Amino acid sequence: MARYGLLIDASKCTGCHACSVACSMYNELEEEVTYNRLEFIERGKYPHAVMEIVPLQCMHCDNPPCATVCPTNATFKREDGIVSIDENKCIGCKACMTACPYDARNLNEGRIPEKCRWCPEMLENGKQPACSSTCMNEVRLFGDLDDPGSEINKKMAQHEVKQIIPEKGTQPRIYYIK
Amino acid sequence: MLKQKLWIGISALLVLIGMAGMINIFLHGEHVMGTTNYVPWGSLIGAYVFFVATSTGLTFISSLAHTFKVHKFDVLTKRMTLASIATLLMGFVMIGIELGNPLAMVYIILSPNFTAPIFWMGLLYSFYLALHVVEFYFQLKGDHKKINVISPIVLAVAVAAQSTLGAVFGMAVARGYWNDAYISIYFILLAFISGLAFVSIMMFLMSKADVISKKTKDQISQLPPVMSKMILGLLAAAVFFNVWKWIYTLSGNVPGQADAAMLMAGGALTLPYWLLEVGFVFVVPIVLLLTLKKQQGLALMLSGLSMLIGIFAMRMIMVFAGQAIPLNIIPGAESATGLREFSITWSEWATFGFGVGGTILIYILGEKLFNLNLEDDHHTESEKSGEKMTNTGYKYAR
Repeated sequence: MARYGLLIDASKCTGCHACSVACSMYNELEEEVTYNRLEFIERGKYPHAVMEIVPLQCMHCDNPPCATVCPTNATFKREDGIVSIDENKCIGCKACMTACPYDARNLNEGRIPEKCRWCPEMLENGKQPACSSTCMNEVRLFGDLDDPGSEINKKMAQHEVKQIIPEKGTQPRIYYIK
Repeated sequence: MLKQKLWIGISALLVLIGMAGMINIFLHGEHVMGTTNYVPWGSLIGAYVFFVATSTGLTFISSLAHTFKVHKFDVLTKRMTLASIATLLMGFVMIGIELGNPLAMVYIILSPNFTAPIFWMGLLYSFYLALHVVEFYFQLKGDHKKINVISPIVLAVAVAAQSTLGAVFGMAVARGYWNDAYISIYFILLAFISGLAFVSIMMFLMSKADVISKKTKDQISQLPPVMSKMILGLLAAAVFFNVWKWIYTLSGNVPGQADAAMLMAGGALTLPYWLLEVGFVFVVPIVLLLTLKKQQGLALMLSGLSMLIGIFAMRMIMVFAGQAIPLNIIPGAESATGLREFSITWSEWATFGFGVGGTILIYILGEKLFNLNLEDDHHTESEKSGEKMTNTGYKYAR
């Protein structure tokens, strides 16, 4: 069984939003729902100001607070590490939304808090999900963290990586190149 | 009789307007609610907490006689149990409307998650309602042997459920303002104050109502001194909690906690916090109860009204303060600045109105259907167990 992870090289992101558009089209998302977003941060002052861009989405945490608080196990952790949603079981209490430290969830018209699903049907076939395959700068790289020969592991070995707010103890599965 | 018709008319109107609001929410979902993706819990969560906490507080009062053997409160037992069931049911209506897919509640039984506070809260409140109905049945039958057994269990389940509701907020690690070990205890304290506030209003109305017997009115007239002391004592404890909460919040470094507190100390929630929470819940009742000692019944009623309005606002402030500060996911990011928008829409106000109207209607229906006065068999058994009636009907232990 694979143990999926995602490596993001935010320094390559141009802020073109192609990842968001590709995701919305592939997953046929409603207008107000987005599975991934870009955070913009201004660093420094003119004439040395720079714009930093950080792609954010569900972190598919190993200790997901959204799954901990879900009363019906509608949000659950799969064996491959993907945090998934069984919409039939969701009562719409939105506890997962208040519990998530990454603001990763969006309510759809059916009042179900949706989020990035890491497109397992793509990963299981060795393909990159739409957000990754559409990116001109290869900002995202999905892969099996348990496979020593996987591209993601090779790249992670070459760079120093970090996680977002690891102090919350969520053990996110998304790593960012420092 | 005319007064009762007036109450029925007002509450029926509230229920009808509430139904319009609820239908609007069913048809248009979150679009007609004040919630957003960043503020997912809205005013109906606050309203739910308000009603179920009041129910817990009323259970505390109704159990004073059978659990704590304070027989002065015998006269209120049945009425407060009925009011407690009514407020609990209205709490369930509030959460039922807030939930996006209430029909999926069946999965709480079919696919329970034992780590989720909401699962335990749902389980405990379901038990609470069932036990409460059984308790009320035995109260109506006058079977005090069974009531003495069930009353402490109902109280224990009510306290457990209410503290678990506190944990629903307290265990939200992403929300600094809620993530507090003491929130469950504070919820219980506030629930008892809500119950006392409700009873204070009820006692005043009962003392004026045509349908209440003179004997019952005499018994009620003996309660204000002890009620006043209980309210002042619990308010003092709540002030103590609040002062330390402020000190810990402002001196600590919990992400989001101090920022949320600053909403009340010069931010968007300053006016509602100081006027409705501090003013209506603490200042007004304390001043009234300490100054109007010769008109304690009136002072209690006004204090009760002030506290209930203030506690309702308090629930809203707590719900919104915990979500209004953006999560500091990426320090310096544009999305981490400013405040998250929140509001209460007419549909939500109407739904809350349904809760108020529904509580009154259920109570009046109960008054009409059941005999809520003390029964002779109660007195006989109490006398057998070593208690004696005074000339006003209330008992004291020998």
